[in-house]
Amino acid sequence: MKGKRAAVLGLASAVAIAFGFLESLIPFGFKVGLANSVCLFFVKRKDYSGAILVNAVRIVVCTVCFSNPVSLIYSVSGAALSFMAMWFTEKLKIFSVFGISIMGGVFHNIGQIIAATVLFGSLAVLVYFPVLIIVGAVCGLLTATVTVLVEKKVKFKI
Amino acid sequence: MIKKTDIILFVSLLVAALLLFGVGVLCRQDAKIAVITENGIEVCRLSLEKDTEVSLSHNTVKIENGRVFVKEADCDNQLCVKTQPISKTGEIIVCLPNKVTVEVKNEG
Repeated sequence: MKGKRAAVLGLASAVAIAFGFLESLIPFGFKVGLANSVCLFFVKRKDYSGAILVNAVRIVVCTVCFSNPVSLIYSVSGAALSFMAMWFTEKLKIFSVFGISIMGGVFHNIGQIIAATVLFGSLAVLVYFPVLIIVGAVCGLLTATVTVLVEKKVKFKI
Repeated sequence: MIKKTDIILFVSLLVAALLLFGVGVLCRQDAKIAVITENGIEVCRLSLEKDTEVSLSHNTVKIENGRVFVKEADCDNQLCVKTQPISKTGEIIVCLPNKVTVEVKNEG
């Protein structure tokens, strides 16, 4: 079973990195959060350690290959807050994968805006807060749709 | 599949965002100065009362009739150039490719 888990996590990390590469092609850093659908896939199966591992591998590889060190701060703060929000929402048991993903998307953006506030050293970037909530919620819906579609195709147990 | 609670969550987030936006708009006042930063470092503070033009490494910022805007930028997307002139506190123009922000403030 241990070998199988390693294989599944490796496969999932590869998918997440591929998503990360795709999104790095979008200009000026706007991301839909496709890579988060992999994390969501694990959260939905209550495999929290798997979600954290895949996220960590993705962030490190994507930052080294397609991005710069400054964006690492944004990625880590966004992913960490997003994961915590999704974990908490999953525990509430009243939302489906869509609700979990919406919270993940919104808190990913909240994490990034906190990072931006600290990096820019000014509260001015908070002007974008309302827009980022809406964008996060919409992207969360898209991410959940991807996860649901993948779930239907993945037959094996992890 | 999608549940009723998910939709309630989505709608309440939209409402919360709109309320926050409304509060932000209501709190706006006429600004007195423009603060320009490049790579996170403050380049200069200018009074909005005097018409001037400032050249940065990649952008040109102009103050005219108490409002500030980006006149030129060498980036591909030109989003900062297309942004409307700003003059109220809380408004900001950002050029992500060149890491430039133009912010208007009240205090000197």
